[in-house]
Amino acid sequence: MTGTAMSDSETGISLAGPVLRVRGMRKEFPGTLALDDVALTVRRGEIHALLGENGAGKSTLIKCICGAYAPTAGEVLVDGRPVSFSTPRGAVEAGIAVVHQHYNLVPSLSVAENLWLGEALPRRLGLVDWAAVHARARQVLDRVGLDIPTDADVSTLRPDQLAMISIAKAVSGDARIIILDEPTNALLPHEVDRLFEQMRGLATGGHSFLYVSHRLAEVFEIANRVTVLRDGRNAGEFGRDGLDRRAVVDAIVGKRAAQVGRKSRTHASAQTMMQVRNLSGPVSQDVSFTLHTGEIVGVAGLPGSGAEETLNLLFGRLRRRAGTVTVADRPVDLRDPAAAIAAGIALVPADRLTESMFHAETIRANISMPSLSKYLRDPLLKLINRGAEVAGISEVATRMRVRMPGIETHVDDLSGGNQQKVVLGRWLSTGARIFLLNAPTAAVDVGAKAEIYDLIQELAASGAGIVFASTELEEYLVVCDRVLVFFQGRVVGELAGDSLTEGNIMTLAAGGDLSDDQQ
Amino acid sequence: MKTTNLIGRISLVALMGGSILASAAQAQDTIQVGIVSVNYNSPSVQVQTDAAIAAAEALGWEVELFDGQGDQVATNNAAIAFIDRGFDAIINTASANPQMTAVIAYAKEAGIPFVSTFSGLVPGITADIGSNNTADGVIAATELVGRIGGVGHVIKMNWTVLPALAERDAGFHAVMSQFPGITITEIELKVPGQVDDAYNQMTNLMLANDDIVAVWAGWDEPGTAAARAIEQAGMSDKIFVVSMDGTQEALSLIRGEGPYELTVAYDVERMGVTAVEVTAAALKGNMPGTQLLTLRPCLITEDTAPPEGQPIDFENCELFSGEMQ
Amino acid sequence: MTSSDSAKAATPFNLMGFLARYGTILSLVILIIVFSIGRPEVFPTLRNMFNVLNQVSILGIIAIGLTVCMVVGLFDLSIGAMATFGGYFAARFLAEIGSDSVLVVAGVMILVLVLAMLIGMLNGALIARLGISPIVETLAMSFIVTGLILGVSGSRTVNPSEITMTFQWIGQGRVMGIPNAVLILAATAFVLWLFLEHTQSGRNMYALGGNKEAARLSGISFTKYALMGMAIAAACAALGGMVAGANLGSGRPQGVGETYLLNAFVAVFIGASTLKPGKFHVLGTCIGVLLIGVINNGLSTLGVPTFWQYIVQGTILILALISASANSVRRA
Repeated sequence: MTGTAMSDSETGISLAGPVLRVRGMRKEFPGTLALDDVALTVRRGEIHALLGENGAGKSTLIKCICGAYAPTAGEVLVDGRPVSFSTPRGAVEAGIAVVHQHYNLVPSLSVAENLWLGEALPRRLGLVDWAAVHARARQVLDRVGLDIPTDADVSTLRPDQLAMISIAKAVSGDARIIILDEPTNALLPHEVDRLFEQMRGLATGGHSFLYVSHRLAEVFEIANRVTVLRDGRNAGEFGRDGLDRRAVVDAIVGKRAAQVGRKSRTHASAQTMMQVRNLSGPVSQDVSFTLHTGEIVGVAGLPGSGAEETLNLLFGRLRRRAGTVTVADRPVDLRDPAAAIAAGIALVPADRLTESMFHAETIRANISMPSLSKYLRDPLLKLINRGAEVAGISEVATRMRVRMPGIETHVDDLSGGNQQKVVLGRWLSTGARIFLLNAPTAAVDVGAKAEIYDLIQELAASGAGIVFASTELEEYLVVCDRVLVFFQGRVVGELAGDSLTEGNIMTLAAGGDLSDDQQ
Repeated sequence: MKTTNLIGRISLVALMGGSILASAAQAQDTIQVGIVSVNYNSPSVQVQTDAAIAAAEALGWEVELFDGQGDQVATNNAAIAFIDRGFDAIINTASANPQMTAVIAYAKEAGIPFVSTFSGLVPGITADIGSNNTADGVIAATELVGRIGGVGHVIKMNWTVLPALAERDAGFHAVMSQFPGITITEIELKVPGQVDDAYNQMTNLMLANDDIVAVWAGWDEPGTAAARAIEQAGMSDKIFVVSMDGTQEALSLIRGEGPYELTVAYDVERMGVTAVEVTAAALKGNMPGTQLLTLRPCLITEDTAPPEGQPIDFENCELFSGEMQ
Repeated sequence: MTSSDSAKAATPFNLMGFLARYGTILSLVILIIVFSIGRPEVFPTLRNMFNVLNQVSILGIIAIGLTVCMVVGLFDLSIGAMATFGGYFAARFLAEIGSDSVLVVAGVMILVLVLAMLIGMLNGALIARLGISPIVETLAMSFIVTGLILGVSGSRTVNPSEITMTFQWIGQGRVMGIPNAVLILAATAFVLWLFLEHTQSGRNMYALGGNKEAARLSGISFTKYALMGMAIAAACAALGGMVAGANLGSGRPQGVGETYLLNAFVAVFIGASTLKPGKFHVLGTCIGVLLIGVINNGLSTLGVPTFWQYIVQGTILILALISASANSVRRA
C-alpha cells in the first residue's frame, strides 16, 4: 500500500460524487430470484470491489448494469441520470465498459488491430491507412502508460499486458466506468502489482473501477470501497477505514454457515485406500495426503490454486511432474485416464455438458460406456450381450434413483440432476473404489443436490474413498470429513471438525493466516 | 525520389536488354519449343504429345512440356511464360483453343508459331491439326443408319460441353434429320463419372425400352461402357454401338463378338508428328495453306481392326463413304 | 393403425420431429410411387429393383465405409483416390500374374484390401498422433495415392482382354439371380452394422464421435479407433473400386473414385438425418444411397434430362439437412 494511493483514495471519497448508482435492482429467472433489491454506488476516481461467493449474484448484477440482462425491477443511474440499455452497445456509449476474464482480444491480430476491433478503420484512397491506425493506437496506449509496440501480435504478450490492453481499449472508447470481471485470475503476483499500479494511475485521472474478484488479499490492497453480495442481496458495504478481513469474510459467507446440515457421521475407517506423496503438476506443488476407506476428503481453493488440478492429476488427465500415488499399497502409473480406471479410480469432471455426457445417446449407452467389457458375449469379436447390458444398467439406474421414462430415453432429455446421476452411475459398474468428484452438484436444482449428497454418503458407506471439490464453500461442510485448502499450488492447511468453517476455508484460500483472524 | 526512379528505370531496361540478348544467344544455338497440354494424363492426348516430343527432339530441338492437370488457367500461364522466356514456338496438344485466345494473341505479338492438335480453329493460330469432327459424326451416324435400314430406336449419348463432341453431335443430327423412321433418345452424360453413368443409363434404358436397336456414343469411353452393359444384359444380338476415337479398349471390343460394331479411329500419333512438321515449316517462313489440317481417319470394324498389339494402318485402311483425303 | 393411435395418445404429434426422423424415408417412398405411376411397366419390376441395387452397390460399399470414420468424428476425402487405387491395383496385379485361379484372385483382392488398410491407418496415425486436420491430411493423401497410381500405370488403362474372367465375374456375375455386387454390398452393410451397433469397438467409436473428451475420460483411446475407422473407410473404398473395376472389366488409373467421393458424403449426410437424427449410422447411409440410386434410375427411365437429376438430388439433400437442423434446434 503506497502512501499516494491512500491519500488519492481519501480525496476521491470526500470530494467526488457518484458516477454510477444502482437502486432497487431485482432480477428474476424462472424459479429463482437472482437479485433482490440490490444497491451499489461507485464514485468518481474510485476502485470499488464487488465481492461474494459463487452464485451470490455478482455476474448477474454486472450483466444488468451493462445491458446484457434486462432487470425485472430497479434502475441504473449514470451521473445521476437514469439510463436503460437494451444492448451492451448502449452501455458503452454511456461510458461503461466491461473487461472480461478472457479480455476479448484476438490473439492472432496485432495490438493496434485489437484496439480498433469493431470500429471502422481509417481509410485513405479507399485503403486502410495503417499509419493512422498505429498512431491512434499509440495514443491510446500512451494514455494508460503502456510501453508496448502497437504492431506486436497479442499472442506474444504477457497476461498483465493483455489485461491492460483491454483496459486501454475500454478507456479509448471514453469509458469512465470500467468493470473488471476477475481480471487477475491468470496473472502472477508481480504482474498483478504492475496492473494495480496502472489502475491507480487511471483512477487518479478520474476513471472509476468496479472490480470483481475472489482474491481477498488483492481486494484489500487495491480497493477504496467494498460491496458484498450474498444470495442476491446486499450483505455489507465497507469503506477503506472499516475494511477488516474478518468482517468481510463474515459478510461473504454469512451466519448460515453454522446452520446448514453439517456432516455429522463419518464412514471413514483406519484402512488406507490411496496414498499421495509429493504430487506436483503444472501448478500444484508437493501435494501429499492419505485417503482412507469410506473417507471423503475435500480439496478447496480458488480457481487456479491447484485443487482442481490435483483431481485431474490423480485421474491421469494431466501428466504429473513429480510424486507417487499408491492404491491399496501398490504404486500406480497414472499415465492416462485408462490407467486410472484400471487402478479403480473414477472421475466426475466439472463440466457435465462438455466433459462427461455423450449427447444423442441413450441413458443406457451413457452409463455402460466405460464398463462395456462386462457385457461382452465373447472376447474376440466383442459382440455386446444386449440383454445383460440392459439388466445391469437398469440396476444401476435404479440404484442411482434416476428419474426417467426408461433407460432407452435420450440423456439430453433429462434434467441436470438426473444427468449427473447418470454420470455418477457410470462408475458403479467399473469396479471403481476411489471417486474423484469435481463440482458434482454444479447446475443442479436444490432437490437433486440433496439426492446427490445422499448418493455420495452411500458410496462412502459402501467403502469407497472420495476426493471432493466444489465451487460452493458450504458444500464442503455438508459433504466432507476433512478439507485440504490450496493456495498458489500448495496445501496451506487442513480443516476438520470445528475448524471446518466456510470462513476458515475462505481465509486460507485467499492466502490469509488462520491464527491472525481467529483472535 | 526522382533519382531512385531513374535508377530503377535504367536497371529495368538493362535487365530486359540482358534477357533479350541471352535468349537471342540461346536461339542461335537451338530451337526451343514449349508444349502445353491441359490433360496430358488422358491416354490419347499422351500419345499425340509424346509423338510430338519425339519428332521435335529428332529435329534437334529443345522441348519443354507443361502438363496442366486439368487446369486451363495454369496451362495458359505456362504458355505465356514460355513465350516470355523467348521460346521459338508453342505447340498445344488438345487444350481447347477457344479458351486460349489470350495465349494465341500473345504468340502472334511475339511473332512465333502457335500450332495445336485437336483443339479447334480459332483466328490467329498458325494451324490446328485434327479431324473434321462434324464429318466424323456424320460417318458414324451414316454407318449406323445403313445397318438398321433407317428405322428403329437409337440412343445417342454424348457430352456436348466439349466443342469437338458438340461438332460430332451436329454431324449426328444432320444425318438423323433425313430419317423420320428413327426414334432418338438423347442422353447427356455426367462428367466426371462418364463411364459409370454410361453403363447405368444404358442398363436403365434397356429396361425401360425393348425396342432399342443401336447406340451412337460421342466417344469411345462411354461407348465401351454401353457395350458392356448391353453384353451383360444379353442384348448383344439386338443392339450395337458405334463411336469415334479408336482407343485400344474399343479396338479389342470390336475384334470380339460383342455389340461394339465400329469406331472412327484417329491417327493421334501422326497428329503430334504433323504438328511438329507444320511448326518447322512455319519457322522457315512457310505458312501452311490452311489453318485447319484434318488428317484422314480410319473406319474400324471387325474386318478392318488390326490384330492385337498391332497399330492401325492409317496409310492403307479401306476407303469408305466419308473419305476425306 | 393401432400403434400410431397409441403414439398419438401418448404425445401430441410433432411434425418437425416426425420429418427429422422419417423425412428421407418418406421422400424415398414418394419418389418410388411417382416413378411407378410414371412407368408402371418398367420401374416397379423386380428386375429394375435389382438393377437399382446393382447400380448403387459400389457407391454403397464406399459410403458405408465412410460412415464408420465419420462416426469417430473424422473425415476422409481420400476415399475417391482409394477407390481408384483398389480398382487399378487389383486389375494390374491380376494382369501381371495372369492366373485365373479363384485362389489367386481372392489372394490379390485381400492383398489390395490390406494395402488400403495400411494407408488408412497411416491417415489415422497422422491425424490422431500429430493432431492434423483430417480434411487436409486425407486430401493430401489422396494426391499422393493418385500420383502413385499414375506413376505406376504410366496413365495406361488395364484393358478387359488382360483381366481374368474370375475377377470380372465378381463384378458381373450373379448368385441365385442376385448380382454379386449387390451381395457384396449387403455383406459389407451387415458386417459394419453389426460392428458399429453391437460390438464394444463400435460403441466406443460412437462415444468418441459424440464427445471426445468424455470418451477419453472413460478410458477410450482416440488413436486406436482413429486408426481403425480410417482403415475401414480406406478398405471399403478400395473394395468399392475393385467391384467397379471388375464390373467394367478394366483397371482405370483415373476417373474411378472421383465420381463416388461427393455422392458418398451426400449419402452419409442424408443418412445422418434419417431415423436417428444427428447420428451417422449404416442403415441411414443405406437409405441415402438408395435415394440417390432411385432418383437417377427413376428419372432416366422417365427420360428426364440429366440436369434434372442433379437438381433433384441437390434439392433432396438440402431438404434432408433442413429437417436434421430443425431437429437439433428443437432439442436446443
